Amino acid sequence: MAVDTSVKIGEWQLANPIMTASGTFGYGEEFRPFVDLSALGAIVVKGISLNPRPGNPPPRVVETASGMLNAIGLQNVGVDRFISEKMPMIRRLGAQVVVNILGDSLEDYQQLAAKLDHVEGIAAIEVNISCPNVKKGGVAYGTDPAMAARVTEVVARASSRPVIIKLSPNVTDITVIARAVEGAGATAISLINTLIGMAIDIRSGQPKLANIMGGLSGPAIKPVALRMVYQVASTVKIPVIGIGGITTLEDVIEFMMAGATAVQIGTANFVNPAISGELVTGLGRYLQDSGRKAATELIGCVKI
Amino acid sequence: MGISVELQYLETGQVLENALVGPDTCRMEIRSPKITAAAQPGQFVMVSVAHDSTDPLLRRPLSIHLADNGVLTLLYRMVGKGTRLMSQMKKGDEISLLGPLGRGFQIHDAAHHCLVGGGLGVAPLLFLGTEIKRRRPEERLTILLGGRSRNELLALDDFQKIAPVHLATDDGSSGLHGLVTDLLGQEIEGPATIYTCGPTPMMKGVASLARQRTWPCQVSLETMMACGMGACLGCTVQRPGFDETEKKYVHVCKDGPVFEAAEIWR
Repeated sequence: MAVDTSVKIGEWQLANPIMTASGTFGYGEEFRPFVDLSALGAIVVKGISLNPRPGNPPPRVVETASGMLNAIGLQNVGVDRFISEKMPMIRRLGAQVVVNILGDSLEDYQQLAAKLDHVEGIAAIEVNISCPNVKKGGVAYGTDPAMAARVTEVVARASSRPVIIKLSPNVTDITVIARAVEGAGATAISLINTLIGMAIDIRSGQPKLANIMGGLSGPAIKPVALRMVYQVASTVKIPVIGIGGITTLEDVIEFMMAGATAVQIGTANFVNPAISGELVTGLGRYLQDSGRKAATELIGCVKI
Repeated sequence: MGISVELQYLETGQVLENALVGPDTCRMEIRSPKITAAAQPGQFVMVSVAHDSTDPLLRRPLSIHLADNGVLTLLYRMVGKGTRLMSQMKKGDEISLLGPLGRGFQIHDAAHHCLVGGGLGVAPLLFLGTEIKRRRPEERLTILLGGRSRNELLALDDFQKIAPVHLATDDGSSGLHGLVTDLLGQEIEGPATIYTCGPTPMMKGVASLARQRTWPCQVSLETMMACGMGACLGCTVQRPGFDETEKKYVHVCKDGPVFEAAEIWR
């Protein structure tokens, strides 16, 4: 008997729980030689702001033990060019597409959500309130529960689609922020964004990133991410999407057992561009082999 | 511009040979038929150096030294943990490659093609020289190579098989006692097209001389990279004089690694 791999984020049904994380999958097109994009649960495209952003000066990336630091600085073409130039191409990919948005003010978020609401071919909106790389805005919204709730309210009102709020791990108690955005109307919560980190070149005595600090991602952060997903999934009733160093099928299953309804694959796409498709196949086989009827049986099944 | 993404492969190659050929420098031959068939001079591959391990995590970008008859050759320097692990691979080992990637050298009509390489920068120039000779046998080809000393002049025999080679060393142990840029000024007269790869100060010198002499000049850049395929936007180079948001930075993996010198330096 066929296994049901589908999961639901609000009213939105995904064929399976495997998504790709914003900023690690370009606009999808780049991965076409390696992945059947229509077979993925969804893809989340590179974060979009109201106006184009050039991003940070180089060096922007540096490898660390089982991970990497990045300070890309949210380089993007801006929402108008995204709609006119990128969306026609994205619609042809045949994938479920989530658009990630980021702003410096409530007005930015409101306008972004409103502009995108008229655009066809978007399944959901993910709101980045957590990027550590932009000095104003980004951090504040993700670390203050009242601010996080206001952004959620503004986007949820301006958008007719599911609204996913992406949380920062760089807070004292993530469950406080999670409860705030749930109360403000979020459809789902995705977590974690990168952990703020740093690396120094001891020969030059300078930071390895021009931005001094950057976001740590990759297998190094997985235990922290898993813990936060468990905490948040135990706190809120809305679906949680797990992100953070997911590289193997075992990682996917762990996050779902901890309470994630779906997961996003990030840095692993850089190491193996075919990984997201391989995990879809692997998960289906695992469910079959372990005698389960549906992927949803895994969600939150950790025995405490 | 750029190479169609349809021509990229994730291929498990087989190591045929891996040997030390210079100070901290190795040459690896890999059976990799798909990537080899699609490769163009100046393109690169992302090499997985740690099988089933997360440290080192990322692939290493290496330019294609030669691509011929199903065999891909890489010339690389042991600079860190990743390339040291790579140097320990043996004949018969499997190695995962992603490529060919990026925009390579553009080979147009030219009265005189001149390759200028410094140090490990000679790596992509052997493939380029081989292809220029094959595609444009009637056109003149000259190769200028520089290094700190005689034993750092890499792949010399291979270059000498395809065209006249002129040398420069910092210590005078071989060829001109000086910079490869000086060699370029002395040896090349009249119209020429320049292709260069090496340390950035060297390439800037070459590009500056090319500008004075009105020679077209292509440069091959190197940066830190995470994905190699235009997804992470990490491999940025700033373009001096371009302040507009859209044009301030280029990405070495997709816009390059080969650029017209004028695109980058003015």
